[in-house]
Amino acid sequence: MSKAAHSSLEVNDDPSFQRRFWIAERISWLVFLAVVGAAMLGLTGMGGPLSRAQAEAAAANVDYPRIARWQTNEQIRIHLAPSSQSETELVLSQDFLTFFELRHTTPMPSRTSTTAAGVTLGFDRAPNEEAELVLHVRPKKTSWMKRHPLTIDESAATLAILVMP
Amino acid sequence: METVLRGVAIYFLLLIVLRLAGRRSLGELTPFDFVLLLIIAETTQQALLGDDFSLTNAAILIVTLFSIDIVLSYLKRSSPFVDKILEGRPTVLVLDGRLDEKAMKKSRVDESDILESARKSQGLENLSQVKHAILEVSGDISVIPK
Repeated sequence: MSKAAHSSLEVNDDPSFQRRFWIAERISWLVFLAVVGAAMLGLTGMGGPLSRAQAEAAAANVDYPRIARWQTNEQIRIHLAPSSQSETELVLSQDFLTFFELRHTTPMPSRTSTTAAGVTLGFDRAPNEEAELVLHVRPKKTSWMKRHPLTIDESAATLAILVMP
Repeated sequence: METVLRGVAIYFLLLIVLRLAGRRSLGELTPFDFVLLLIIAETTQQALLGDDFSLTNAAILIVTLFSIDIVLSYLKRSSPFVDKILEGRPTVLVLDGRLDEKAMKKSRVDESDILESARKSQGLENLSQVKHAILEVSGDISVIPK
């Protein structure tokens, strides 16, 4: 019963609902804090110690966003170990291209070709020197943690990426 | 479709967060609350529009937001439970001159807030002149003098 019912005051209060709501309010404030904490850790993408991950291919290390955001620019950085070859070949699978738009690369590829497996990009490089390729990508779709193969000189690295809405 | 989904998602996100943040958060607009409101408006704008600054997108969004508002207003009218969840209920802070300390603490209202409302709305000088004080669903404090 409303406490106001004992008085001349006519007010549509509901103390029992209000008490439950205050509890829900306090719990939700803890959830707010948890969201901020998760964001600081990088669990919502865009910076933070857990937002990026590494994947290994035979002669390359890939630094990529573990958690990305839909329609937000991201970078996939490929660090190439020294090699005697004068070209590095990168194959982006059709599946990868379904989920990510490749906006541009740094440096620009010297050649591109399309096959059933996906898009092949060839990059000129100086032999016996380290090199870095940067793919500037943008998620086209949201997805749960999904594994995307990235083939670098015929060696596949698997990128597990979650795309948040 | 994306525009409508964005509108619906942002509307309900703001509704839930503002409701759970508590009435006092936006009930009385201090300069700091005003800044908070401006930041929320700017952040929301980005999320609502995305990269699409077309007139069509803006028109769909506006119509979507008003439509949700109209639907919710009908839901609130037809269901007291929905009304209670969405709007809340007034909270009695002072009843027959007695302060409800627990309600005040939980609602983040102190004596100075009640006195401020008492001065503004009734021209009262002190708390002993207050018969009832109610925190309304809007976040305002109504004061009834003795």
